[in-house]
Amino acid sequence: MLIDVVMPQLGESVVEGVVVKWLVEVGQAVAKDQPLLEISTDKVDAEIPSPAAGKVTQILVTPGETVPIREVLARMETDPAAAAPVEEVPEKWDEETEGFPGHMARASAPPIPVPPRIETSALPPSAHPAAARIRITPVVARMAAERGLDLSRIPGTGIDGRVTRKDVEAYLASGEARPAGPPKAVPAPVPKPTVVPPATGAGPAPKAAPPTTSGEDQVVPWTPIRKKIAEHMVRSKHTSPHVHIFAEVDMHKVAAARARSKKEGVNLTYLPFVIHAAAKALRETPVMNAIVTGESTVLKKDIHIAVAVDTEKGLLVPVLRHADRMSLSEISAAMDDFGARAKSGKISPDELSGGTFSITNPGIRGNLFGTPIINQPQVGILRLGQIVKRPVVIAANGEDSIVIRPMMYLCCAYDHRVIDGVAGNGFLYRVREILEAGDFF
Amino acid sequence: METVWLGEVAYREALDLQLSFLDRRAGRRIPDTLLLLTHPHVYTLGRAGDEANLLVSKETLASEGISVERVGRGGDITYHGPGQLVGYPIVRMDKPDVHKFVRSIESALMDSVRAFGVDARRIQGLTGVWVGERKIASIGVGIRKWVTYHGFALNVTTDLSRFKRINMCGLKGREATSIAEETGSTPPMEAVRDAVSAACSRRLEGFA
Repeated sequence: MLIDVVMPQLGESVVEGVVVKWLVEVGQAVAKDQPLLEISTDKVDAEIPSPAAGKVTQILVTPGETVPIREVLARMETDPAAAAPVEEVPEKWDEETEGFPGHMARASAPPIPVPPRIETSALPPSAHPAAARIRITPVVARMAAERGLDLSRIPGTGIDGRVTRKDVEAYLASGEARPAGPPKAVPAPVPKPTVVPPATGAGPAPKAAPPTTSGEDQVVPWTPIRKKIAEHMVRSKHTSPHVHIFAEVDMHKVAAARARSKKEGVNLTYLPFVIHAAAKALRETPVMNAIVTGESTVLKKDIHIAVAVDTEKGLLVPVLRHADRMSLSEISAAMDDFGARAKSGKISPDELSGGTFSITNPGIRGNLFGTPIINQPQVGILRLGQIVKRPVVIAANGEDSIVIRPMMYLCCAYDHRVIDGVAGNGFLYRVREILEAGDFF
Repeated sequence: METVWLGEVAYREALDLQLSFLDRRAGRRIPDTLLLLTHPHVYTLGRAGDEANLLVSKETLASEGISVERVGRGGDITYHGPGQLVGYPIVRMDKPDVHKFVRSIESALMDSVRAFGVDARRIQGLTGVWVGERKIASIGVGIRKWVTYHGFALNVTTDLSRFKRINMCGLKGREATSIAEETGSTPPMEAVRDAVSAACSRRLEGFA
């Protein structure tokens, strides 16, 4: 259904507003309530949420324009199939209003919404001959869309056979409805993708002939922890489009700081410095310190960094809570403590959950660099590379010279669904800046 | 409306807190809530804010440990710091009326300062609360998911010299004032806080 996004009335005395910025582009898929644009009026800035899930088809005003209320700002094609079931039913459904909040959207042509359709299947257009005859209100259309109902299957008891809200409720109560999921519109052959990625994880290997093993080969069945790791890795790769970016970091100031603390009797590895720098950069780049739930990104207030620890039992990732509030020596002590307890298997499950970002350090044999896999449902991870002394060119007193510096490749993977290049690159660049500035105390 | 007193909170941290309250309010998991707090020294620039309105260099400020933050709100530059009561009303607006909301905040603050002997007023076209031609409280509101955030800053015993380093809200030549400046006495922050809390509960009802 094509709908208009209109300038909302922001108050009795408000007759217009200025479009400040668009937060979406034409062609972009948007979730319901996702902010579409920012408008401003008399010291009040408001984000206008999308009235429905769908795709933006047209943007009609440019930033800086002053627009009277009710004027169309954009058009969008709603996507009933994408609409998730509502978590909670708003207190009141009003048959007379158009959507929720009432002033946000008004239906434009076609006035009668067609039942939800399955996007990928090439249904013949005549598949819904009844569609045009169904008389419904927008509220009913919305209920149907949100629950994935085919309205042609719901008997209408209203005027002229109109399907009313009560009819939909009765239909839902009758148990005939299949809430969520695409509507069972027509038993037309729906083309199935030929490759079905494992939805819930790696699971058992695809059914194939058992591998031939000679007498000297060793079959190692997966331990539960190996199985969990396998499932998580596969799920992450299928869920998040990973972008990997690299920074080359001059660690000589970190090395100097380590040497200083060693004199004071504190043994620090490189890792706490990176954790410290990452925590600082995360505070400045909230979108990197986030988790994804459904079609939303939750920007986490607290910075809890999960740090990979290699143990005999496999990889464990204890979580450093409030890493941004910890000093270097506190981080170091906490890591030592985790390391010791991980080896003896005394880490509680609570300590392994709740991370908002991850750092993995493969250690001195970690090779030059690697491309880590995001720890779901987080959106970013850092991987330390091997620290190697290399000749580098630096500019000192206006002259270039070659010096020997401990250099490290730092890789950051981010979830490109959620994080754009600017934020992702800005974050890693900042981590490098902090490490190179050498100002840790 | 519930009031939460947070004490001194860094600007960014307070923004994160506001957004988490905002999310919960949008999901109807909490009632309308007024966050009351103070900030450590900070200058904030709105989205359209012009750094030229900052009259001292960032380096000078940095050397004093004062940060300049660019913020996704409307309005130009302002100052927050000790002695200033900051209020962030997290109010759900099922039927938004932003002008009424801003005017209601002004009313609440005028009520509040009157209790301490300050006769404040509005100036047409200049959002905020004024004593004569001097500004005692600034207001800037944001709305996301039909819930308000950002809010107001009321000078109680604020060090007013801090405002001399900016063109306040982008307005040249306007001066800031405070309750202490106007009355010659320094009311305790707790007393002002309670007055503002009560006035906001009265004036900011009925937007949902």
